[in-house]
Amino acid sequence: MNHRVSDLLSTRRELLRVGGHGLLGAFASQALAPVQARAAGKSNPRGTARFCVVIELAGALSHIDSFDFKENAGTQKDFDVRQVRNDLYLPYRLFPEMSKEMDKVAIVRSMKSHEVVHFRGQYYNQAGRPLNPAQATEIPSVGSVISYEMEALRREKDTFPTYVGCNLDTAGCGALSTGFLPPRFSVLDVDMKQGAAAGPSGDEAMGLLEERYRLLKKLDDVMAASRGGRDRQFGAFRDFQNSAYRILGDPRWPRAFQFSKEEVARYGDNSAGLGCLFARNAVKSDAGTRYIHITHPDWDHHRNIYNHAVKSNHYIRCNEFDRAMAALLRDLSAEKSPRDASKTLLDETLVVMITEFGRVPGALNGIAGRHHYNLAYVSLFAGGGVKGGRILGKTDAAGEHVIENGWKYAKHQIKTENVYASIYSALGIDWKKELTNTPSKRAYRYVDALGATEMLMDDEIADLFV
Amino acid sequence: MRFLAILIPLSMTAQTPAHQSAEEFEQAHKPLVQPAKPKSREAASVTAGVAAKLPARGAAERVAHRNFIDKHIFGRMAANRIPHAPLSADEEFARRAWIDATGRIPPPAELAAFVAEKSPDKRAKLIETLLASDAFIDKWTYYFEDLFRAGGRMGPGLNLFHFWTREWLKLDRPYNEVVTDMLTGAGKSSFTVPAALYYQRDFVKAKDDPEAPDAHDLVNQPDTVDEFTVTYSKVFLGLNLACISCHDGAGHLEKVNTFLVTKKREDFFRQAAFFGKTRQIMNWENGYQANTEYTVDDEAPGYERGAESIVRVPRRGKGVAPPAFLLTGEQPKAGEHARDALARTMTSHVQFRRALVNRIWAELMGFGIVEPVDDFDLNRYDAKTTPAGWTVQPSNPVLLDAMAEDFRVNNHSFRHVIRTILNSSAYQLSSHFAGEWKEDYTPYYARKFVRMLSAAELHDSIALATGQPGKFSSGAEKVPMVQQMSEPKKVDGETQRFMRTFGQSNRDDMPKKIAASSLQAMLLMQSKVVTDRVQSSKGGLLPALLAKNSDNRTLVEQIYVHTVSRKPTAPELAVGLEALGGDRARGAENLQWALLNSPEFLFNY
Repeated sequence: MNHRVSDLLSTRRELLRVGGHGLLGAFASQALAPVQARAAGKSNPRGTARFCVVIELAGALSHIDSFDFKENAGTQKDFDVRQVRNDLYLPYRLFPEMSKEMDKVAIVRSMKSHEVVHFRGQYYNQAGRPLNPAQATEIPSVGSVISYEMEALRREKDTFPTYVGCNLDTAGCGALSTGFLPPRFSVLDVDMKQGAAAGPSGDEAMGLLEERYRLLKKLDDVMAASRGGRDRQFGAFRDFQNSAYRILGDPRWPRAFQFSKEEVARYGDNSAGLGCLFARNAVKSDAGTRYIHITHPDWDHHRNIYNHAVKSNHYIRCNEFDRAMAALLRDLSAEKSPRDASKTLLDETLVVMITEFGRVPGALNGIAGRHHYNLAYVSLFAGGGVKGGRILGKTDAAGEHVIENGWKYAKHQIKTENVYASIYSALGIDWKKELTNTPSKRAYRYVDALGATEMLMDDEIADLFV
Repeated sequence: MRFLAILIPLSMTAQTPAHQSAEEFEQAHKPLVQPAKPKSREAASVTAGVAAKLPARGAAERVAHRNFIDKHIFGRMAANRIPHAPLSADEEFARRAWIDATGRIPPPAELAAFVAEKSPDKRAKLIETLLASDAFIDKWTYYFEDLFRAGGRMGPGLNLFHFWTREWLKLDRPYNEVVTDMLTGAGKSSFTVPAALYYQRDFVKAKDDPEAPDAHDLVNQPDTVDEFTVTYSKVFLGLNLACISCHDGAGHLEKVNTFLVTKKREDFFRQAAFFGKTRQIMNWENGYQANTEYTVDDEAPGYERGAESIVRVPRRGKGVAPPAFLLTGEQPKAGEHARDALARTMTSHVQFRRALVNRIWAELMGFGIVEPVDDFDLNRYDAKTTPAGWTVQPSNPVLLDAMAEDFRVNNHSFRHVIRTILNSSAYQLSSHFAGEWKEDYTPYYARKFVRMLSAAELHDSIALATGQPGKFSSGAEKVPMVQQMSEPKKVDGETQRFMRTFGQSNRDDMPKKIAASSLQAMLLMQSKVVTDRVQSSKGGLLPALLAKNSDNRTLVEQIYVHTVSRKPTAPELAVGLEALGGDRARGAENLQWALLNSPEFLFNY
């Protein structure tokens, strides 16, 4: 990615790289101490979703030529803008598939961020709170918190990790760690192009793995002969081996990554498409994964945003995302839930599109692109109890300022914290909870009303659901 | 004009916003309590587990004090009646020393020779041999390239920097001179002046100039200087100036750092001002931008206190800040170049020496005498200046100062630091502790703490254990070990993923250690990095052993010796023999696979 406005903050980013690729519980010794929780207020989570899929468009989606379309000096003639609904215009050239699925989707047009830097914006989108360098090492990703919350719900047959990332490490901040939470709530971040840490495919390979694993366990026993009761910590790595084996040994795991040619053609052979394809499979197999964060990078079109000749432009990225999300919505809505025949899988899966901020409306800049713009931008919600076919919030004619916030709090724009409060709520998690035994002793609030630059409403976007 | 509209919301003031109540302000600034020491605890807890698997040693013998490190370490333990582990056995010590000094498991023949040798000073001799080896240079070049983030941003200059680093390590150049070079490097092309690359790679790109749409080479110099100052302060001084690079310490750091709380953003400006006149300008050639090739010179007007920032809270202030060293207030002498003054004041300060020896101590002993290694609180260095309610920060300040002084007296020799630590009995203690281990013993280093092999060490050790080295490109050469590469990212996808999962630094960010995870366990079981190498059809160790030995017992022993650097115990032998029954080749592959997946391979203990 060509970083125009610099976000190469090596000094801040390094704090987050403690997480590396989602593998570090920075405070591994916390694994011994039970996480202490305290309900600070009372939220009423609605619990309408069993699964949640977040599609992050990393690099910043231009709002005024996508889901908050505005005609302006930069509008391209080949956008083929169509009226999808009374209240909704979309560039059909960019979103041919999603144009047909907007009845399932609620658009939020009143997003606001304080960030203008990718790395910080992407951190915000994974941690659900602004980056604070003094605290960053102990802050978990939202997915890790969800993994912690859902631990009690895992069944014996659940082998997949609760929290899976698809190309999370293509985000500028990488895959965030579990912070002060124990390492077992870590994301399993998969490079969709390379496939899973693919398990053995076929009976023979599976048989070999089993043979080897048995030998490993036997050796483990004899090597532990001189243990004398001091092994308790070391068990941690064996625990990882045990859960690794369970994942690898589960035929559902490699199957979740096996895509037919037809499927790949339908979803798209890129990180968005393959990520959504995996998400569909994970939801269908219901093997333990409940929260999936897909990162679709390369949206940062400071230059040549509409230039068909360049390798990465708005058309390409929009088409990729369009196809992927539409296919996911279609496949999930076409399948009945095995838990409740009156519902589809989409009814049980909250699908969210988020991005760091928007792009400057109006005429293009001096290098035929659009720079960052954080005063108004969009997010999308579908499934999991969301009422589709609606638009929350409104911007002015240029798309520069939000004139209607479109939710309960008429004076407040909608923030990433509210997006995550909604996700917690849909998943049945009390978002007003606090965890108190952090290393800094500062309480970790699931949704923190203390925003970066101003107080915010620590509430879900209830209007999405009613 | 829209750019300004974007940047204004970035400002974060420290004052109470108008609509925020006093109570909310209180909440927001709730005091932080002194954080626990996670790293040492982590090392201790991991160690307890791994060490428990090692064969029990007898009651702790009295260990010989080999150098001043032992005097301080064992002296304190004796004074506080802290029990300690016994000395490590030969095999335990040898494997550990090989990995720490050379990043690789020991070759079986050399290990056997060491164990068999009878001379009383054989450990010291082994250490000398290891320090004189090429592998020592490989491993520590890799370490410093991680620390200095010698990555892709150096462009083709990276190969030059790689060889320059190898060279100063080989020559054991005084470390203060090396750092002086890195802080004062300048030249028309960063491709030809290796020392200039350290600063060159840290450029912060300016936002695009609408008047000059093609000029995407603009560098935001003040932001670059700020970033670089924060970075080098961590690397060379162990000080984290990130906070005061945006705001005064007062009102923010009362519960975080009692030294930095007294510092102001102005102090940071003045520290940064040593580089205030230094520029990086991307070179052009034949009408094209030579991407990543920069001129580094000192022709900028100086560090403007009010210069626009892209990545920080807006700078407020007027005029050019004169350089002043944060720790002493010292300014450049008359006629002295600012960067020369920085190098001089910084590398002659005791904190420079403490920072380096503390880092190396952390590498070799599990965690630093001061943790985190880049976050010293200088007011808590000794009991006299430590404020009430706080503890002294270093676990053994007298030892750290003794090592810092020893470093100075020995001409800032990096090799001398390694040698001194490795030769100490403190380093040579076993990680197996008989009796009940208490957390309180941890800061005394009463046992050797274990660590997981780093990503590169792990990969290379797998390659060696299976006799299947890689074939990696490093500049124009082909090298068998990842630790020999100038750009370790340039490996195939599978190897890259493996290494990243085990914490390989991307050399854009500062290096970090990572904890275990199930993805690591999955890759160890299934990645081609492991599974291809244990396949006896692919060559390497196993086919050679299978062809040579008709005796299953020897086969098991050889697999053990090559993989976990010791012979199997009787019960382990029994399990190994059982595994070989039936399909011998398959059994041998399975056995080596299992050993590669065992903590005895994965950890340095």
